[in-house]
Amino acid sequence: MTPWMRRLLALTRRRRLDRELGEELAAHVETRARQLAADKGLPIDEARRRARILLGNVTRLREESRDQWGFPRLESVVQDLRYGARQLRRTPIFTAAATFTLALTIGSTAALFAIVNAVVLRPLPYRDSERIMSITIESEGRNVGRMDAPTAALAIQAGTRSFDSVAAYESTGGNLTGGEQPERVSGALVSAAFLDVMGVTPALGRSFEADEITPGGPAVIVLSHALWLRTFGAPADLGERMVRIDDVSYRVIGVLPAGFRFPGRAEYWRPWVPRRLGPGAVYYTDFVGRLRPGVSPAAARDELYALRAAHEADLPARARRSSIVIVSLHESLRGALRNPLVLLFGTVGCVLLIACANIANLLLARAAERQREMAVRTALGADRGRLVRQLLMESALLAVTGAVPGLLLAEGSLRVFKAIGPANVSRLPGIEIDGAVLLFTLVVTFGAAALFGIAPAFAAGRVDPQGALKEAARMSPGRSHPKRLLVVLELAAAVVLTIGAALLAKSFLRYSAVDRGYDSTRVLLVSVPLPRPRYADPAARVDFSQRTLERLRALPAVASATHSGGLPSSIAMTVSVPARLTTSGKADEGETFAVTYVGPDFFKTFGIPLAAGAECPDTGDAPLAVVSGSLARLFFSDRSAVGETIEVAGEGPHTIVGVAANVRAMGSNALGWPLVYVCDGHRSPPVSGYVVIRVREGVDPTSMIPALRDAIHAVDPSLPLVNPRPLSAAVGEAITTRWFDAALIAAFAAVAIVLAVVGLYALVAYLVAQRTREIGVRMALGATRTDVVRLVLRQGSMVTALGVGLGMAAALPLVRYVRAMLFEVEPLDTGMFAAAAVVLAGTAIIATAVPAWRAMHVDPIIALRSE
Amino acid sequence: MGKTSTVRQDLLPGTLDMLILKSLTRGVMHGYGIADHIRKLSEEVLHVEEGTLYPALQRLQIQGWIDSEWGHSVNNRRARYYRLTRAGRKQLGEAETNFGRLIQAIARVMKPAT
Repeated sequence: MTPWMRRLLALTRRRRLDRELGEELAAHVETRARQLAADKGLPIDEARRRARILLGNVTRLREESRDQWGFPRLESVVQDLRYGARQLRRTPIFTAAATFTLALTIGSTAALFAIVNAVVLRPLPYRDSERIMSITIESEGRNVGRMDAPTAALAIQAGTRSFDSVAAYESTGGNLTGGEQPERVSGALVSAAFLDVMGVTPALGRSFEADEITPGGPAVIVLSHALWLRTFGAPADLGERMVRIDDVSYRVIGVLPAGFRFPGRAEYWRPWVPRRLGPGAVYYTDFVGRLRPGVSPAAARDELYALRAAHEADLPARARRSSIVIVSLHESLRGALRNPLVLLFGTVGCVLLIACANIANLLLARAAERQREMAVRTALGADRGRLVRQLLMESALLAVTGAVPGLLLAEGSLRVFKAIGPANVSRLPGIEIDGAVLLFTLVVTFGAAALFGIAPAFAAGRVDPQGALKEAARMSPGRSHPKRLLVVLELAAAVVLTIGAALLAKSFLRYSAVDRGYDSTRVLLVSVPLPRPRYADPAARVDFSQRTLERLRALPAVASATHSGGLPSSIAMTVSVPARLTTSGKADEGETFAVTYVGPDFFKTFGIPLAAGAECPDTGDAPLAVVSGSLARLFFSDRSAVGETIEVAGEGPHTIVGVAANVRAMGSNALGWPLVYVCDGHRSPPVSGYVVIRVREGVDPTSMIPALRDAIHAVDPSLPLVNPRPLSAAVGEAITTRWFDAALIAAFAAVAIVLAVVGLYALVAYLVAQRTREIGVRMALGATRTDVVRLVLRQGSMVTALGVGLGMAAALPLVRYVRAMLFEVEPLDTGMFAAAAVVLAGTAIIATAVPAWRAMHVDPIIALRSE
Repeated sequence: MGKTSTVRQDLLPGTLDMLILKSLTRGVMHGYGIADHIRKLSEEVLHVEEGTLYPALQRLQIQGWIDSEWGHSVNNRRARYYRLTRAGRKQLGEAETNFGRLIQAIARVMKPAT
């Protein structure tokens, strides 16, 4: 049996042990007495008396003995907790308010940490993922976000020293047939080393081999585990299985492990073969590499530049001139999300700190009231350490009482967020309350307890028993400087948060109000992939397009209809084939434009006004194009672009028939690239594009979905319609994200203001209560009510002015962190700063006015008499 | 006879434990007997106070170095008797060794310079 176990046993037998000790001591005394009587010849009673005196402090003896029975330290902690709980129950309003505030703030902090952890902190789920780099280029100051294909192909072929392996990939998609239902699946075209870069080995089979990565090579495919399961039921071996995608059969040569779906939600991977375009043409691809250990990204970049320089002759001029950017894949996928999330997290942290400051102030006020209690305990022998420890336990108990409902609140908010939050964040995996979040919450809870508990605990421990007991009922006022300082800090923090919220709100309003160049209100679109082999022939695609559009235009509710390779301006990035101008304008190989393919009535359907000329004609073989205003201005500044010729690399010269207004990018409202809209009346509709209709006034676009489906299926019943939706929905998504950010920060800023102002009110009320006697004296000596009000207001204004001033000063360096999230709003916006100051000052004045008004009505006689 | 020292907390607590354990090698004793024994053997130099003795006895019991049982004393009164356990014997050996080492070290420091 270990001593620990003996202690436990003794714990259960305490009463008996106590009794036995008593008997033992009695026996001891008796023996001593007899000894004394014998030695000194005393009568037995006298001897017994002396023996008892010699025994000393029996109580202390018994206490020290009792300490051995059980776990005294643990028991004193439990005792402190029970005492603390009792104290908290005695002031239910304070406890309820503090618990509520803590639950709200700790809960929000935990929820946000869960999101930040899943999105920003956690590394990607690939082997050594921090070494997977995304290699892209910047051209003419714009971040292209991808690598140009010639350089990528070159790097793949030539090999690099800095990277273990490099690979190009392009997202794609197709119609999977052969199962019960045709299904649209996402996939990717990847170069040979793709799986090496991602650190994945096939669970079955193998990856692509060199001879399969050539144009016209064998049709092979690698499947995801989920697709393999769905299609074949996950047999143990590969066999000779085929899948049909877009009416082409592919032999399955490998299956990847469950869970791997990169890029995006890819379910199949096919070989990436670099396309050969005309001279000067460049298209872009995603490009990644696995950095060799010990090599820095800067060194890798230099090597790529050197490689480019060494093969200058093989690369088009455009590819030579861009700057190479290497960042980790994690950064490129998640980097954009980091700023807003960190900002939100900082905001919530601030609110938590404000709440702690308030609770600290309240506890400090209570500490003054509890001085008698502390004095009595000190007089009875409690040492200071014990008192401080007990008060800290109370704070810890309060914090934990707030944290538990807070965690429940966090769990609930995360569920709501995953349901209605912006898709680019809420769909990411791992947003939940896991071990890391719990640990974090624990740290935050005890951190908060320490923050608001330390000052009051030490203040109470510092009590002089004599002084406190003598003062009878009178509260000896604590020093108010720490309280004032806390309120000043609270107000400053609230000001900073309000400025941030105001800036974001203004940014959101600007963003939604900006003229995007197209009208998204009455537009319905659906993605219609045209699979092979049926639609391999351009004539078949033209036929489909004409018949479908004819049917649609015949509908009374439809104002106009068109087909298009992409949406306004969002297309510019997918395939960027630069245009070049012939002799009629400035020819410069360096300029980059975007090209997109549009059908007849494109501009009318999307509501893009034409500044000059006309739309693409319905029929005809002539190569025609419409250009954007920015392109026209760039090259034909002094004259009309209509009638001029523009050469699209790889496609020959086109005659310009119209100039369209500039259109902003859908996701970011950024100004688009100069754009050439090639009329594809003579070409054919792309294999995968949109059918778009514009409905008449008063018709709800969504209600036309069945009609749209019917029209398309009347022409070809086998076509799947992917994701029919109104254009406003697609546009709305980007707005929702911004709205979400702005609304959340505004909500937290509002909470911060409320907390800070309540703190101010409590402070001023406290100060007034303290000085009641003094006010009575002043009034008795002739001060008017106005004088009293002025006195109180001055105290409040001092604190307010300091707080607001400090807040503005602190905001100046901090606002630049918001800059990335603002749309056409400068961070140092005087108007917003002033607005925040006014809001805070206004609410603060009201908070001060109430105690001031009360002070005004103090009856001097009562004040003088009160103690 | 030297000045009497009352064994209170200022003496190393391990020392008191060691003295008690050593006393019990002589045989089974009750609390008063142990204090008496130490007093007599130290020639009245060491007086163990009850306030220190009895808590120490409780502690030694929790550690498992001594055992106790109730019996009858010489005068037929009920008394609690303590005896050394095997673990206690082992502990005593260690304590003696450490204490001896300590004494030697102090003696070396206090040795008059030659």
